[in-house]
Amino acid sequence: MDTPSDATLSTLDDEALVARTLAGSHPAFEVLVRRHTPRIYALSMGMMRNQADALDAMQDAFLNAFRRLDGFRGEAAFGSWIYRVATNACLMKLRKRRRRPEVPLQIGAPFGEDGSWERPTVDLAPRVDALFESKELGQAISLAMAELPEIYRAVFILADIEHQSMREVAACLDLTVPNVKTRLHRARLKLRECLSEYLAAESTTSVRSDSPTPSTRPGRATP
Amino acid sequence: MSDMMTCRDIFDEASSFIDGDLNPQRADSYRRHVDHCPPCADFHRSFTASITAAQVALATPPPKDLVEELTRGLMAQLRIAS
Repeated sequence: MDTPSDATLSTLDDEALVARTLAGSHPAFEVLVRRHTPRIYALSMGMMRNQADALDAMQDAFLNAFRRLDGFRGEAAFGSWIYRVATNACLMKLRKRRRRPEVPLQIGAPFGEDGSWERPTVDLAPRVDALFESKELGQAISLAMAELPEIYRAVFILADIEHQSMREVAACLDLTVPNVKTRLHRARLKLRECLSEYLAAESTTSVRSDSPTPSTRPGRATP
Repeated sequence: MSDMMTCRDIFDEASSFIDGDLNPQRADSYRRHVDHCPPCADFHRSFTASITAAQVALATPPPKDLVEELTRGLMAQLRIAS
């Protein structure tokens, strides 16, 4: 049988490439790696937070995928399957590195008995927009992501960055869909809280004349 | 379910609202509350802005040399293992 050229291989769909890889073709697997690297990179960078660790996790992920390829049954798309392998590779690396037990995700929820806000809120949107221009956005988000326990980070990245469906995220992480939705909401709340703290810390170290005006209920004093 | 939502409800159901999981009546209640409650309007804007910020910050494509480095290293390991 003629060996297909790389150009021919890259026209094949994932399932055909998997079949060729299982038949012994490394070039077919290389095409799969190149094709899925961008998405796996985004996932790994979000989870590991630096390029060197992300690269390590990606190597592990693709090696694991190669070794377990005969277990890929085609019930899900290859892309979803490789996400699962890559997520597990990142989680294993993070758990090995973690010296302390994972701390439960704490979120401030300052509400009175009548369900109204007990403390003033601040509209972060204009100041988040300013982050885009100041190029500090990456640092702010990186610090916020570090506050998320690993599973919450994985849920957030798969759902909000990689735009996987709730069902796909649940399958990837062995969670129920309701579980995913709860964790996603808490991750988003924590992200907002961390950005708020980051921006508050930034504003105490820089001279600004346009501090945001907090909103309060009528009759409440502004701190 | 009651038509009236509290600020606590807005806090708890913000994801359900933006993900389209609320029924039309509840979604209307959410919108009406946010329209008339400045602290919740702040919260809602901050909530969605934070998600957008993360999407922008984390949507970086891999550097080309990283893709090459990854692929070369990987294929070399597979050749050794074969």
